[in-house]
Amino acid sequence: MLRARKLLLTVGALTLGTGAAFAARPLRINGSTTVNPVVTEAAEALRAERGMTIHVDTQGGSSGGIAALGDGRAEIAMISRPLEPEDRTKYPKIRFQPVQIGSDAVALVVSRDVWEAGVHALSKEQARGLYEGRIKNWREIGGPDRRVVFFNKEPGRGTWEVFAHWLYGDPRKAPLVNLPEIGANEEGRSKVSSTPGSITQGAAR
Amino acid sequence: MRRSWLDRAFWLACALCAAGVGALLAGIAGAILWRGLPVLRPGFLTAVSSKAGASGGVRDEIVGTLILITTALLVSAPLATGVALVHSVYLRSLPARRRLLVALYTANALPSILFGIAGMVVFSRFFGWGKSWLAGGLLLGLMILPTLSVALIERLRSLPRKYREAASALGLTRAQTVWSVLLPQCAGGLLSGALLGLARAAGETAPILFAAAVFSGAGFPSGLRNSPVAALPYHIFVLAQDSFDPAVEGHLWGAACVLVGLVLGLSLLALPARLRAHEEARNA
Amino acid sequence: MMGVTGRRRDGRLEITAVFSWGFTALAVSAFLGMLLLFAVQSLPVWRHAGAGFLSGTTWFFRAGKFGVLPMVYGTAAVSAVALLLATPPGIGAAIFTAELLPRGARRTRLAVKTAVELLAGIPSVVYGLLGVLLLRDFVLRLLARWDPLSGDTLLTGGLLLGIMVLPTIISLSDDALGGIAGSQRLAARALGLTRAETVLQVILPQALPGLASAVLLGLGRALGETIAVFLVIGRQDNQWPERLLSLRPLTEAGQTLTSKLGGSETFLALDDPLHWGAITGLALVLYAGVALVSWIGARLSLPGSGRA
Repeated sequence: MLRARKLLLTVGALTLGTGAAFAARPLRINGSTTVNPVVTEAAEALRAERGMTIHVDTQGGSSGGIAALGDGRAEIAMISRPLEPEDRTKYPKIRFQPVQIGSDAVALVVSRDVWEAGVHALSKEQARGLYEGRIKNWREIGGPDRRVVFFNKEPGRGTWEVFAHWLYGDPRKAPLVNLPEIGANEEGRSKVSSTPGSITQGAAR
Repeated sequence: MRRSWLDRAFWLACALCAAGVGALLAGIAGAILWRGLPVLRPGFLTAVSSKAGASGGVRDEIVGTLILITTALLVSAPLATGVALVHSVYLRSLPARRRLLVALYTANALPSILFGIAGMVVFSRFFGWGKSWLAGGLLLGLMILPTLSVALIERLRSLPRKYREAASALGLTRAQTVWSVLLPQCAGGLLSGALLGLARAAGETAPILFAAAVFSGAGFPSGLRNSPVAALPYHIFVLAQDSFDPAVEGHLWGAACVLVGLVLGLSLLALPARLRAHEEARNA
Repeated sequence: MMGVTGRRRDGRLEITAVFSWGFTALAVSAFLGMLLLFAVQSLPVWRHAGAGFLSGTTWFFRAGKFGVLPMVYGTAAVSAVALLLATPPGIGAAIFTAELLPRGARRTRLAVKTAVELLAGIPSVVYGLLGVLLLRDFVLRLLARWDPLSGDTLLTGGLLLGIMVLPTIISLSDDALGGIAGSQRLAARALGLTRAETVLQVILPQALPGLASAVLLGLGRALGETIAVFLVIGRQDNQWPERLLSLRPLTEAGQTLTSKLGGSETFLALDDPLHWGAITGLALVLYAGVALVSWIGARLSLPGSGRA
C-alpha cells in the first residue's frame, strides 16, 4: 500500500468563541467522514462538560462541508484535503480560517485476496492504470487472476482529492472515469471486504 | 382426469405463493429479531448514541422520530378531514369526486425523496430555517395526507345512507350533519388511517434527509430554526453504509429492531379496522 | 341543498365548508407547487442542454455534462426486474386468499393478509439494511458464473425492490379479485368448471383492469424507491448499455434517478445553478414519470361508473 502525506484540517469561518457564546446557538459542523470520528468524540466531550449544543453531520464529504459553510448551513467544516483557491473564489463572502487538528494518510486499500497474492505496493503508473481501467486483471501486476474492481470515492470527497492530487498533480486534471462510487471511508472498507479483487481509496486508520 | 390434475396443480402453485409470502415475513422478522434483540437492553432505549454509533443507545433518535410523527399527524389530520369532506359531502358531481380520488391515489404514490428536495429548497433555504424539526413534520404530514384522506373517504363511503337521510329529515344543516353525525361515526376510520400514516412517516428517511435530521448532537429541539432532530431511519441509513465495524453492527440491528417494532406496532393497532374495512368492501 | 358553493340556504357562509375547501386547496397547491418548483429550478439545465438533458448518456458534473438516460435506464431496469419477480407470486398469493380457500378458512385468509400488511409496513431503510448485509453476498454467488463486479448490481436492486413491491401487488390484486361479483363464481361452478378454470377463464379476465392497476401502482412504488436502492445499486454513473434488452448490464452496477437524488451530489449542487438545475431536472423527470404511471393505475382501479 502506498501512503500519501497530506494534511487534515478543520476550517472555522467565523470566530471560534467561548463555550458560553455557543451555549445559546447551536454549533453546526459538517463535512468529511475522515475527520468525523475525532470531531464526534470531541463534540461529545464538549457537550458533557460545557453543555454546548453541537450538531455534527457528514453530508457530502469535504466538499459538502465547504458548501455547507459557504451557504451558512454550518459554522465549522471538516475537510480532509487542503483548502483550495476555488473554495475561496466560490464563496467570496466567507472568510475561511483553516485550523489543522491532525494529519491523516490516504492509502489504497485492497481486498484480502489481492494482498495475500503478494501485491503489497503500487507504483504511480500502476495506480493510474488501475484507476483509468487500463489494467483490467490483477495478474497483470502480479496479483491473483481476478477482475479489477475499483471503487471510486465520490469526487467531492477530500480523500479522493488527495488521491487525484497525488496521481495527476491537480484534481481537475483527473480524467473522467466510470466507476462504482462510494461515500464514506467506512462504506469503502465494507465494500472492499466483501468483494474479491477490489481496491479503493481510503483514509488509513 | 387431466382437468382435475390441472386444478390441483393450480391450487398448489397459488398456495405456494401465499406460503412464500408468510415465509418471507418470517425470514425478515427473524433476521431482524435474531440480531437485534440481544442489543435491546433497557439502556439501549434510554442512552444517547455515542462514538459515531458504535456504542450508546438510540434515545435521541426515538425522541426525534416521535416528534416528527406527532407533528406530521397534527398537520395532516385537519387537512385530510377537509379533503375527505370535500369529496364526500361538498362535491356533487360524481366525475369530480372520481377525479379527486384519482388525484389522491396519484399523490400517494409520489416518491418521498421529492418531498425531501422540495423541503430543502422551501424550508431550509427560502424560509431560512436551516435544518428544522418542523420542516420534517410538515413534509411528512404532506406525504401522509393522501393516505389519511383516502382512509377517511372510504369510511365515509361505508356509512349507511340512512344516517344522512335521517339527518336531513330532522332538518339539520349540512355543517351540523358533518359534526354531529358523520365525523363521530368516522372516528374509527380516521384513527386507523392516522395510525397507518404514522407508521409510514416513522419509517421514512428521504423526506427528512435534507431538511430535518442530523446524525449526532440533536437532543430535544429548542426553537424553530437550526433545530434538527435525530431520527431512527436516518440513523440507520448512515450506519448502514458503515457495516464493517463489528461494534456498529450490533447497534445497527438494535436500532432497526426498535424502528420496525415502532412501525409494526402502529400498523398492528390499525390492522383490525383495516381488515374489517376490506372484508366489508368485499361483501358489499 | 347540498351545493358546492358552501353557502347555506339563507346565504350565510358555512364555516365548515370554507375550511374544507380551503384545506383542500392548500393540499392541492402544495403538491402542484412541488412540481412547479422543480420545473422552475431546473430551468438552467434546460437552457444549457435543452432536450439533450433527456437524451444525453453521460453525466459528469465537473465537466458540465448532464444526461439522464443512463439513470432512466437504471430505474427502468430495476423496476422491470422487480415487477417480473413480484407479479406472478403476488397475483398467485392473491388468488389463493381470494378464490381458493374454502369458505370457512377465515383464519388462514386473515393470517396471509396480516403478513402482507406487515411486510408492506417495513421501512425501506430496513430493507436496504437487509440488502446490504444479506443480499449482496447472495447475488455475488448467484452471478459468479458471469463474473460480476461486486454484489451491488442492478439485479440486486431489482431483487430487493421485488420483495418491497410484493405486498402492494398482493393487496391490490386481492381488492381487484374481491370486486368481482360472487354470482360469477357460483355460475361457473354450477356449469361444472373446476376452481382453476373458474379463476383463469371467468374471474381473471374480468379482474384484468384491477390487476393491471395493482401492477402499475407497484411499478410506481418501484420507480420511486430511494433508500433501499441507493444502498445496493453500486451508484455507477454512465452505465448505458450497448444493447438495450441484454441481460449483461444487470450484473453490473448502475444508477437510478432516485439513487442519484439521494446521494451527496445533491448537497454539492446547491450553490451551482446549472448543477442544481440538473438535480431538480432529475426530480422533475421522476415526478412526471411516477405521477403518470400511478395516475393510469389509479384510473384503472376506480371504475368509471361512479362508485366513487
